[in-house]
Amino acid sequence: MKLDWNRYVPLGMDGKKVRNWFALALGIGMGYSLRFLLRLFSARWDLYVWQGNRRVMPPGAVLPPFGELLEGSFVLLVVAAACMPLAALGLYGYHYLEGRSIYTMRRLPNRRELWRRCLTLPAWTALACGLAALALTGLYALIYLAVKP
Amino acid sequence: MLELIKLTKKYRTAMALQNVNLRLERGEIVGLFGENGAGKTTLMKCVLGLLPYEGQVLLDGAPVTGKNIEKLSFATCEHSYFPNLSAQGHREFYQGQFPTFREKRFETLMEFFELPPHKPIRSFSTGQRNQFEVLLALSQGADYILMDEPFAGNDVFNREDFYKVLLGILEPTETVLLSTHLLEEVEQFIGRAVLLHRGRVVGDVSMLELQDQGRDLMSYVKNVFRYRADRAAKALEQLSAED
Repeated sequence: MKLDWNRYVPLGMDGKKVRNWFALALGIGMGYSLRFLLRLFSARWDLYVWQGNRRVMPPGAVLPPFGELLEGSFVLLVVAAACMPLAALGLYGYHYLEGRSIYTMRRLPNRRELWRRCLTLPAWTALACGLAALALTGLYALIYLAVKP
Repeated sequence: MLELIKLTKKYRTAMALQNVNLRLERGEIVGLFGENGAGKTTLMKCVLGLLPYEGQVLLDGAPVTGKNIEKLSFATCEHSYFPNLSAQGHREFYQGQFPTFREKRFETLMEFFELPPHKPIRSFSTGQRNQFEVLLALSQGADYILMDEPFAGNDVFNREDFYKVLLGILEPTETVLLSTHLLEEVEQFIGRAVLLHRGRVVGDVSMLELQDQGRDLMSYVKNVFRYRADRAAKALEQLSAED
């Protein structure tokens, strides 16, 4: 089933464009979390020492704790989620541009129409940010366990 | 019937409406007059539930809620259409939202005003925008049509066209409450005049009554507002005396 994104933005806005902006925010947040992998593999590299022309891992070498490596990785996802109330406000404010289409939206028999158009995408994005953080934490934990000496 | 009972609206520092009692019967065309700030716009916004108020607004005996609000439509000089949406887009949206949407009327008025169906409304001229605003209010299929200075910025030909169309298309059960400063223009077209002054109803008269008394609307309004025609002349006299 094809989703009509125009149903989830104020009338006259391009739903796909708005969706893309929200997806970009989510993508940037997720992309930034890849710094965990950089820190993980950098920490793993640091465990090795040179012996002649070979790199070997000394016995008892341990990686920093998972939490320490993960710290700050989801900061942009948190920022993106935290910006969603502002985004919802922006979508609501759109009804005040070049007139007062808010009057029409507020007197519709379907009282949920206005809120669907202002809240759905920000709410989905905030939720997606949360779910992405959870899923990435799981994935990164697996990778951490896999590369742990 | 649209009934306002002791409608009161307070802003922080001012009383916008004070105990307004008003009853509009089905099929009436009522002019709402008053100076700027008299409360005309506030009254309409209260009726539509766009502003909180004290008192009661009853629509055919019931308070205005989501269940009966489709009986009310609104055309405002502030423009309540969606500027980036085309006329066709509005039509589809209204069809989906208002079960009584008047398809035929929408089409007829679009043709009459020669409005482009596929261009966004923001590309329309001021006159066209006003026409479209009114067109939407008339096509929604509402029983009570509230119009708040809908011709602001329209030229006289536009307005005359509008009056003709309105008289021609309204059904006997449709009620119009029209707020405007253009007293003389609407005199022939309204059936009743309600005067607001500082948030109170200070006059309510049917045009037939005025006709019987041999008076016109302007003289009635001037009388109610105690308009002093000599005020300006006196002020000018004083100014010239100072020179």
